[in-house]
Amino acid sequence: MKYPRHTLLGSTDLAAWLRVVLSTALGLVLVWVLAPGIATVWAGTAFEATTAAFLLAFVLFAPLALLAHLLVYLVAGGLVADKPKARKNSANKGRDAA
Amino acid sequence: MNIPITKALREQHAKAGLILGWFGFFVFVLGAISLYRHELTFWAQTETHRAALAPDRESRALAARAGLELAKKTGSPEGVWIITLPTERNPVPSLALVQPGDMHDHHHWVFKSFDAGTGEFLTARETCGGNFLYRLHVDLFGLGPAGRKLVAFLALCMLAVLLSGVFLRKNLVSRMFSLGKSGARMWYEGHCVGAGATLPFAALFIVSGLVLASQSFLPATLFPHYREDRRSFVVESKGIRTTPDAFEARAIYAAGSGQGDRVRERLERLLLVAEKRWDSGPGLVSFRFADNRLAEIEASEARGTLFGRRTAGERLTASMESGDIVTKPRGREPGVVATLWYAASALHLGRFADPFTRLFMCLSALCVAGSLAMGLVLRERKGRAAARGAASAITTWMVIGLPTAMAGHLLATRLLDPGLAARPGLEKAVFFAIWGASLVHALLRDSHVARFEQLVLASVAAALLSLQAMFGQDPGPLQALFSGLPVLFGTALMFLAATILAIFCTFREWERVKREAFARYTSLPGRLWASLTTLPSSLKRAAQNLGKQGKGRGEQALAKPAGPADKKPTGFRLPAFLAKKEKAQAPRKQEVRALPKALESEDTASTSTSDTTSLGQAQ
Repeated sequence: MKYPRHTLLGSTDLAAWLRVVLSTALGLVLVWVLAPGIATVWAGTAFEATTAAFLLAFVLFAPLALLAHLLVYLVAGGLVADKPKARKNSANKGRDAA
Repeated sequence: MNIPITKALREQHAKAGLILGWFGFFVFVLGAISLYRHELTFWAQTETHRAALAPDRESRALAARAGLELAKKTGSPEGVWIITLPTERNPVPSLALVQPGDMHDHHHWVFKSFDAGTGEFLTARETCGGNFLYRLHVDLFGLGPAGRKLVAFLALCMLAVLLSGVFLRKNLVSRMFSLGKSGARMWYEGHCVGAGATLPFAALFIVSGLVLASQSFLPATLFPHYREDRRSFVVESKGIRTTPDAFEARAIYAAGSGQGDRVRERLERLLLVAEKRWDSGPGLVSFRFADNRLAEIEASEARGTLFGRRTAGERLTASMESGDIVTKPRGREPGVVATLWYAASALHLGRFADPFTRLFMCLSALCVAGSLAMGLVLRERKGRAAARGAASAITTWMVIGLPTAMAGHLLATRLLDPGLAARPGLEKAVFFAIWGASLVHALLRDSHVARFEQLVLASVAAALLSLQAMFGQDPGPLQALFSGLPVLFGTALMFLAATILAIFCTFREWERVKREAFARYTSLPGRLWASLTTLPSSLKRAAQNLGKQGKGRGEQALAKPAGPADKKPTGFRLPAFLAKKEKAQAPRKQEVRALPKALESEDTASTSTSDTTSLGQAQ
């Protein structure tokens, strides 16, 4: 079975660059939205709530950006077909003997 | 069906890693050097070397007394007089006479160095010294808040690239023992092992740097609590807000029965108590005035060690009325998150660090930069030739051009005429001229030799810097070390280490150039060598045509035997996963090449084992 080619953004180098930029921007937007929310709900003084929001935003950005990239990659290319399994040696042995 | 996680991660790591590798190298190298910005400025101002004092108790007392006398002569009794005492980092004392209007804005404080022996101000050359490199690290010099935001955003993106690298990494420990000696394999293993080993430092430096730039980078986070007053968040971030419930002093030293000059007596006692209380001794003495009368004298710790307090040094205040010495309140104890916040910013600034810790921080930042550089070179070796050109040039510009420009800038701080007008501007111009020239050279020159040529220039610049540090100053580095001034010795040692590293890299690159690209040298000796050793391409074509006319197909095949020996030596080995792929394809290619068309109908079983035998049978 042939591996599917990317259809949404193509399989070129430029498309890969676009996917990376898009996923990074997505991660940034998510963090931009999330951080004020954390600052609002965090119990504690104003300073602690704000610093906690900042720290969590820094920690969350990397996984969010990676997840966004995976999502963009999937949308662009779809799932990948399983690799065909290699034929077992025992079957060959029987044929060779015959 | 499955989700192509590894492919996606590899794509993210390779693409984003290219831009962020350049940026990361830039920021980490400049950050590592910025840890020594005061030392570099001191090294550049040779006029102040004679006035340098060892960071011991006697020298600090002498500097405080001399500074007080100088302030009495030159200042007016208002505002604050601040005297910086000799420390390990800055061994020359200085004095600032702060007017009442500037008391809350330290950017307007002007410190003038003075000679504690003669009691006179020193006339040092104007230089931007190490501060220029620090500004480049913080806000890309001249870009201001926009530069700061850009640096913070790219640093945040670096975290994502680090994380994808962690997921892609396999068998770190076994790789450590199987580092290839040369070629792409070496770069691959080096990048994996280097990045794996320096990962904690890289993450720590990036997150702590983000803490310092957070309010300008993600302002939306301030909206819920600081929408109207952003400035107060900055003030609290620096840990300088005191809360009303903590105004009790922690320790009180009662006044003795002092005789004679009251100010002198208070100062001497304050210094004595400070020396006993702090390991690093006092680093700053301030004289505060109220209604044109001296109200109090304050001493600040030279190097704070409390991370949870942003390593802000403790303060002792001597009252002029009572003579009692009390510790200044530190404010309310911060919570866990605030403590983390203060600790992160203190860690990035490195104010807490003694010389050895500072050296460790500098080396770890340089190691991170090194692993990033290895990643950039690896990408170049793996990438397609057509896509390599500009990327390769920019890598050369960043990895070699930047340190060369830094060396040129530091040389300019020492060698430009001290009396020149707008001297700091010229120093910056030297940096940008060298760095710009490096980019032009890398873009226009053949990529196989551009890197080598720039490395030669870097080695020469580093060697000149070392010579200047070793023989171009009085006292010399060894003399300075034995007279209690380790700064000059350490600077010379740093330049020497940079020279050795540059020469080593140049030598390694020369080996590669000799092997791969000597004939491509387009300079006159290189061209002559190439013309002597290789036939012109027109002659080669003519010879091939003649051969084709005279021989049959089988003979042609024999004339050009196929096989691994026929391959051109590439000079570097492929990474394991690429090498495996090539190995799997190799026998098929060999077969196709070995069989001339006339023999395609023959039995291929014997041909695949021995090309020449089968060809002989066919004939």
